[in-house]
Amino acid sequence: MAIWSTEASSGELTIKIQGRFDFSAHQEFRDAYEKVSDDPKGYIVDMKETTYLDSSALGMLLLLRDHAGGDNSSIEIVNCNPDVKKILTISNFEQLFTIR
Amino acid sequence: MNNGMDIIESEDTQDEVLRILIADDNDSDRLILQTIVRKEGHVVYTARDGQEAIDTFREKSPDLVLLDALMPNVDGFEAARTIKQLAGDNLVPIIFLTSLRDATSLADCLAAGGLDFLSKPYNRIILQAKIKAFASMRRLHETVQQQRDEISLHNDRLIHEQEVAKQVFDNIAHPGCIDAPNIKYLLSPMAVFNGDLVLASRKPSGGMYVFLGDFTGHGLPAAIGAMPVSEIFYGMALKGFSLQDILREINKKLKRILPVGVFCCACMIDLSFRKGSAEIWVGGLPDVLIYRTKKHELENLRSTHLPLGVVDNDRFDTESQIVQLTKGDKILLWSDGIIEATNDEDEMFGEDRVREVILATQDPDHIFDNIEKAVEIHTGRDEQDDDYTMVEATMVNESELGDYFGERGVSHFAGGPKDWSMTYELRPQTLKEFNPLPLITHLLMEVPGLRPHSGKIYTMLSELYSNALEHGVLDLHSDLKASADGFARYYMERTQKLESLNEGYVKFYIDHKPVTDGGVLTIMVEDTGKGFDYLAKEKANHRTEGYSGRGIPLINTMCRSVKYLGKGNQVEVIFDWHVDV
Amino acid sequence: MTNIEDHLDIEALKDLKDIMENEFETLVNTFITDSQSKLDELDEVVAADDAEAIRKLSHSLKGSSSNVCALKLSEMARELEAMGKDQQTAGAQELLLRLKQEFENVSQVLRNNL
Repeated sequence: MAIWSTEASSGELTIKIQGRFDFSAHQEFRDAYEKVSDDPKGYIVDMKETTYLDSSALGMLLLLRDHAGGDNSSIEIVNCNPDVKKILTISNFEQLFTIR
Repeated sequence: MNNGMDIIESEDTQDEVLRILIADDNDSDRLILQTIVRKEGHVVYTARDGQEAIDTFREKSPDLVLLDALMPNVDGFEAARTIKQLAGDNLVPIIFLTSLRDATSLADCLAAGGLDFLSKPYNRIILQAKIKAFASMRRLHETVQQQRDEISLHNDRLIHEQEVAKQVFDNIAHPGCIDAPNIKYLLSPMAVFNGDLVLASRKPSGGMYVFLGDFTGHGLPAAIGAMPVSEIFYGMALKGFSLQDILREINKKLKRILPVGVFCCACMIDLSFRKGSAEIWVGGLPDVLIYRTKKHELENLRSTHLPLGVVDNDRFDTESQIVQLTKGDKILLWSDGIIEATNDEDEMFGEDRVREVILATQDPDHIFDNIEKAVEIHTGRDEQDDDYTMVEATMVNESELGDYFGERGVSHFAGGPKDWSMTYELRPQTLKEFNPLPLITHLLMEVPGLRPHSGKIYTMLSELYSNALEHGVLDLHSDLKASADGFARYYMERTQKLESLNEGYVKFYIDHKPVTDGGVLTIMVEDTGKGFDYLAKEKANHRTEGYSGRGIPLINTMCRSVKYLGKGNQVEVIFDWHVDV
Repeated sequence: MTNIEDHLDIEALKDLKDIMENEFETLVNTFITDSQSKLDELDEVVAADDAEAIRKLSHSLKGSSSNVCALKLSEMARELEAMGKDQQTAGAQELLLRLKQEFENVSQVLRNNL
């Protein structure tokens, strides 16, 4: 599991998660959005290389959403594989995040 | 853990006094070694052969052993093996003193438990270095051992705390009537610490609520949320609150108390045996399956909601799905444990396998057990310490529940007042300052089974009361309310008249009588107004229709009868109700 | 005796004396008594051609003489140990004779150093 974040010139922060996204990623995921210099305009969580996520991961996404301003946040979750997408769908997270 | 490292690197370790056993049969060699070691400040014990070495070790438990390999009687190899045994868990470094050079002999030293060699002639510097190195190693080992013991102690304490906590959780988050004959369930004894929760309660109206929850995380944080959920569930279910009311309350509570990121995936079922239906709400759990016994078919019910505790109540959606069921149909719900149970190849059991197992089962009574078995075979484990939580609720005729619900049913209906009447007269001072409706509603809701009708009852009471107060005691005319202008005037007049009110009353006469599966509620409201010619109006119009603005038509749709009495200053409403609406 | 340095490592012996301080005399006496008894035993086992006993005794003598810096004596004990180990005891008698002579030399030097 590895997580890294990149800030685009457009002001968006992209967080990539590689491998299993579960509780062990807790600190790394937080660091990915807390240790950035400026407040990003929006967030993109890139799950292209994410193989699996559990409910702790869903919790972490909610923490990011809270950090990003709750209902006023702009977070896109992109490139989900079918398994990952299914978990997000079961929890109806499309009501809280833009899932592409 | 830093402490241990500090000790190892600290100065006093360098000068640490060790107790060292020197075993050598050669007197002059032993004398030299002993003198060198003593000069380093260590305490020395000596032995002349292997047996003496063993005996001294047993008596003095030294920190380090310098052992000659070739000695008369018991040789160094054998002594080393015995000393290792005596030392047990403790690390006792053994350094072999030898001028043996061949690989086989050195290998024998290692095999006997030696950690290093010191060859003759002895070199003071090398000896110092070796003693120091082994002192560090020994200290490190001690630290590790100490930490291991601490961890073990800590773990014991944690397990004890969990056991106590579990007892509390079990008392509060008890599974209610989950052992009813129409329910099967699988729940590990420590499930609450996996965040899983199963609750079931009889409804006062005769149906049954089943709740399956799966909190994020593990351990105590996952278990904490179970307490309020359970309290709310049982408290409200017993009072006859609707599925929507209960879910709302739970969601509100969890959203307030849980930190962001912790939430509860859940499914709640309102099972009505008389109507042969189930109302189902799913938020964040895997698809609920409906098994149709007659057709031997499965239907999926998808989660359409966010889990509980994620959003505030203004965004929380309680819309449920209603499913018609015939006798023998089953509802199967689970946390993700079953679906995600993996085998050695890390392959999940998955929903497809669940479906296969169900459809391959001829006798519906075996569906539940077969799923359980299939998961065990898949994972290769038969112990039930995994977080598999699964519930099967079967539609039955209420009579089949027999004694189980018979007794509990009685107890649910017992205890509340159901055969009573009361008169409640509100005089001017009270009419000015007090709204009696919440109090009366509250009293009525104590009637077991009546709560699901609270909406209607409140509407009736509220219409009757405002009629009696405004058109009766205050003598206001509803005609006024016909125009926007008049509407404002009406309320201004109402306020003025109420302020100056010093005589008159509104009197409630309420009577409740129980009948089988329900009751008859009579509400009579009398005021001190002048009344009206209701007989003429009844002739002119049909029944009570036409009393515009008085809300009577609305009440009429809700009850058996609405009747005016006396000079039109009394109105009587009779409301029949039955359980399981 | 030709040259002391051919028999003993004088530098190392100085160090040893420093370490042992007043125990040095005890050490020398212990070494001499102990070695003498070993040489007596060696007489017997060489005569009896007991290779294993030759090996053990000379091994011990090799170690202790090296510790008192008697390099030549230690080397001769090593040769004798090798004979015992390989069970090639031809010439053991003659080697033991030379070894005893060397022991006398070493004893003398050690005593003189007290």
